Amino acid sequence: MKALYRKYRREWSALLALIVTIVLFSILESSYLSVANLTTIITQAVTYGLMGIGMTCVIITGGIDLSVGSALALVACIGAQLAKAGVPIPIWVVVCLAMGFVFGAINGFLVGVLKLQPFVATMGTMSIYRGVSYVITGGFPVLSVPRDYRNVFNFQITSTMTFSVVVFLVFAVIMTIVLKKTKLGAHTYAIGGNEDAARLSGVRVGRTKVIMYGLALLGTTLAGLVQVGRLGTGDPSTGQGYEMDAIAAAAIGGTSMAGGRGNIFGTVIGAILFSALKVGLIVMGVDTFYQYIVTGVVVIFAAYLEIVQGNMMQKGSKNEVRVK
Amino acid sequence: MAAYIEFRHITKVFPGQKALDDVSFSINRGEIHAIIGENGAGKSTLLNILHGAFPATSGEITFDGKPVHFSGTADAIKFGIAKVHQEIVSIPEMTVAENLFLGKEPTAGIFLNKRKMNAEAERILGRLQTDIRPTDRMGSLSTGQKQMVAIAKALDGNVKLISFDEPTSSLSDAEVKVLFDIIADLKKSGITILYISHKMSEIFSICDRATILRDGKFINTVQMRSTTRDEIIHDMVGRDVSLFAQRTIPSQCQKDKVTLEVENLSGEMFHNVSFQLHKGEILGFFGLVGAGRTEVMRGIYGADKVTGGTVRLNGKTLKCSSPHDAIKAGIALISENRKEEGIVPNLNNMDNMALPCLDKFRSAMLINTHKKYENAKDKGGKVGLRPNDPEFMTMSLSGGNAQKVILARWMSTDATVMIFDEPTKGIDIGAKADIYHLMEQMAQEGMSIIMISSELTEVMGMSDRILVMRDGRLTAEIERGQFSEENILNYAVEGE
Amino acid sequence: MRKFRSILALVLALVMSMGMVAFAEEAALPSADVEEQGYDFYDGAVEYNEIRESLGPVPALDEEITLGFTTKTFENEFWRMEKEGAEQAAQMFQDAGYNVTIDVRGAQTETDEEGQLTLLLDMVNKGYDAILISGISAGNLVPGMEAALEAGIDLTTVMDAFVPYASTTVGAWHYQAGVQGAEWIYNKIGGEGQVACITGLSQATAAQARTQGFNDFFADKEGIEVVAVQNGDWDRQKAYDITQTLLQQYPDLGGIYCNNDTMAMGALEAVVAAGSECVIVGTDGTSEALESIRAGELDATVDFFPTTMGAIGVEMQIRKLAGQEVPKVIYAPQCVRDIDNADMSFEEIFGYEYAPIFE
Repeated sequence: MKALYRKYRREWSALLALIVTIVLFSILESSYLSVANLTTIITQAVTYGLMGIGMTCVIITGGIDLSVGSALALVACIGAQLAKAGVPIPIWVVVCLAMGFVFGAINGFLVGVLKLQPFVATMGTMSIYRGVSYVITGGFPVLSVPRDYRNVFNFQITSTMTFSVVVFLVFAVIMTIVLKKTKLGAHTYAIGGNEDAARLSGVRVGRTKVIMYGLALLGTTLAGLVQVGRLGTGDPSTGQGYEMDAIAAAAIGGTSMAGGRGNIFGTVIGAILFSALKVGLIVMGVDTFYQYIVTGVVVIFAAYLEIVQGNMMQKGSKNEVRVK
Repeated sequence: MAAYIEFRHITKVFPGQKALDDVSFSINRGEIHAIIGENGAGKSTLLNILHGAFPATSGEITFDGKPVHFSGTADAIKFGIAKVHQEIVSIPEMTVAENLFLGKEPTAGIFLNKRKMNAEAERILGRLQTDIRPTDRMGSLSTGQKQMVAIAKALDGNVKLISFDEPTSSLSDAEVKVLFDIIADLKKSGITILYISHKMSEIFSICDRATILRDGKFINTVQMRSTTRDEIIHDMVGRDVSLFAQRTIPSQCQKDKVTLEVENLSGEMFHNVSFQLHKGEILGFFGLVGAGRTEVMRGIYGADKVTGGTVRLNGKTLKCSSPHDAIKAGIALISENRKEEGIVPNLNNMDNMALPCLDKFRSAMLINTHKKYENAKDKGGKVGLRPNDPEFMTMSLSGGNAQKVILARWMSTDATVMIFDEPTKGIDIGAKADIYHLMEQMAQEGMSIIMISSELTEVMGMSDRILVMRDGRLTAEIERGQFSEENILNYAVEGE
Repeated sequence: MRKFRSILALVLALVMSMGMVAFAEEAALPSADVEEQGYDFYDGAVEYNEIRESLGPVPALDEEITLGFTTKTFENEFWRMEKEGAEQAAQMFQDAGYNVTIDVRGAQTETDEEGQLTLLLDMVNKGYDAILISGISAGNLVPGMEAALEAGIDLTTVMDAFVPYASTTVGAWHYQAGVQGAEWIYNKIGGEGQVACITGLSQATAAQARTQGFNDFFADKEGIEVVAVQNGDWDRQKAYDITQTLLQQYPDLGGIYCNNDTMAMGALEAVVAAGSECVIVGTDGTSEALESIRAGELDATVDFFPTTMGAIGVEMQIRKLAGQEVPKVIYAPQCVRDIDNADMSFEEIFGYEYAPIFE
């Protein structure tokens, strides 16, 4: 238990914040702690969670991806158009995912091969992806996506939970394995920790970034397809500002903005915390003006908790004891 | 001479560790006093207490017999105790004057008084007899000049004592000489100097006395005039070690087997470099800082672009466009910048070791942690890593142990050519000896080794052959029998 | 020290003179009184439908005139329709022998405040006779509007961002839209039950007025409980999430009024997913919403007829240039569209086809 705690100490602080949030809301509003409500919370965490998982991967490389909100809109629009064109469902899924990977790989190419600063590069593609969404749709949402396509990622499991939750959790597990158990993941952490050292150790930095940014955008792609499923619409104006929520989910989950540190479990918790907060404030009927404040306070609180806890842990950490 | 500063029974306990254990000694006014010890001996802790970074757990420090208590480093500076940092902290985009006065900028009303700042800076820099101008951009200075600025920063105010923490670690020989002149000047003007260094020769050439610490305990204070290197090293390490790099295993160089052949290699910083490396050979590369040795190696390794020439490994022409290609071919490079280009700070020992050859630890697509762990345990044992804990964060290790992790990293690969760039820079004497021994073992096992070094004793002690570089060109090839300091230095400085 | 004092004096003088200029200009702003009372509550405001006939024919205009229209992003269907309406109206005037040209340009994005100002300044520099504006915010066009007034160029606001600089504002009656949406829900659910409102960006005055209309309507309705007023940021997904949560909390929720159609479509999907009977009313009358209503999905939307609104803006501007006085605030025709009238044309709903009356 202690070893487990030490290993995931950064994630525990997010989990602690999540538990505090749920307990607080449950005390204030008894209906909050119902199975239906909790499944609602998880369902609503899917979009930010999926995007946040991708964002975590990118941040671990020492980068950032501001284009995810626009990419979500683009994927949703193209996905909706393809669905309306009647592309067979298996092909539709593969094509959409491949497309998402390519959009991400473009970011990775700009950052890893052309060596643009991630902030600038993805700000550029953010604008491009948004523009392309408008161009291909003419500015109109793509409406009435056939039910069969909508059900692929979003059929109802219970009245409040859809398959999207499974998609979310499976993607989280897969990306955890990629990060923790594959060469690609090991190289990702190494690049984020010390890019020069990684390169001199034979890590192909450019290639790793291209692949990782590509994989990361699969999260956003899935979020886009879930949204198409949920809303039955591919809206070119959707996803604005979602990148910030994705970053927040990663940050709450203990991902270091400096790169090299972070994991998916924390981000999943971060996204659920975000969602628990939103649902809680709505259930409580809190005035929307105050919701902004509360959300900000929680983000800062979670970050601070992590620092406090980090300090506490450091004192007892075996790494600080010099072994003779 | 009366004691000026007295450390009385200083003990410092960190959670789980006693960093200083009842240390008492004194420093005289106006002397240059060295503090010597291996990494982890407690030098930094002692210094931090003196500079007010944190208080001692027990014991006290007195100045002229009066106890002093500093609430922080700012407080200590106000009292007149300054420090020249080991790592030079500066803001490259700002001017020298702005860096000098960072945090204490002279102002007129709400505006900066740049004229006054520059004039003051001019005065302080003048005292150091440098040609650095206050308006120079910090980033445009050489490392040595940056060091001057750091000293200038310490000189400000009514300074009574300055401590130097490894001040020469990034300086060229010429710059070291200038630094020593300055230190001598400071001494003349009545300032007491605390000098912390690993380099025995420096300590013997400028210090009056030295205090030796080991494992947090006071061992001895000696007069430099009446002691020897061996005595000091014995005190430091607690056992006898050879200070000088010496071969303990007879050379295994197989002159008939050429492993690496470099022909007319040229790059931005070097021209037409040609040489051969044999199986089992340790080939020394000597030269002054900036001679282009590192650049040649980076060129061979694919880390930098080369503009011409060929590299052949075991007879086959190599085209390395990235380190990845070089590693695949069996070449390893151990960079001189361990922190910047070696260690990945967020990884533990086993991950740092496994980084270049993760494919070895795969079962299907996934990496087998157990294999990684076993490899780290095994290689860690071979290099004498302490603690040999695969899950220990490499960042938290001392310089020597971190270097051993890097060695273990390349031993994990199938490298047949190992390029060491300043392999013993900034590491303990004990660890140095270990690393020399490991290099010998590798050569014995049939690896070919290139060792870049700026330490003559090291390069002469270890090499089968020495190549000397100057201004980007090879100037000499000297066989082991012909090694002499004058000979080698001559080629490095004059080229003839 | 003396130097410092003289600088201080200079700064003070500058500040004071700027203050006086500001004061002087503010007093002269054409619609300062509207600003004071609030656009949605101005006592001199009229509905176009009421004054249509009393306006009389458009006076003759001999000289050649060029109109500018600085509008919002054409990414948004609403502003494309405004543009269309304005250009159609200009065509009608040309056909009637007026020498009118119109230059309609839109900002790049919903938040391209600087870019929009550049468009306006360009039109002012070109010396257009009058300019129609739909400012992204109440403040982003101020320097351009000041320059226009200084150059003697008359301004008309179309739809959004009420500003006191324009002598006339032709737009939606947002407050009334909230009332209309609320009333439709009230009638639909038989005057009893729980209702909610999903609002737009909290700082947008239009969203606030619509929400206030909604709240005011239900304030004295005994059988109704307003259970939530939540911000959906104009975003489809967020409206979906809020609706999902609300239905979770209030399974018997009777109706939701959304500040725009995009959010209404999101809310609708959540209602469908939950299998709820809750009715959804949107705002704007986008083609998406109308199609959905025709398909029997969305329940209703408050339609602002942006094409007609743009045309009325142009008509009012030409009337002003021809010397006629027009009211400061004119609410363009708007009504609730539901399954009963979704297929009807403007003429069928209001009993007339929009066209300027000429002499």
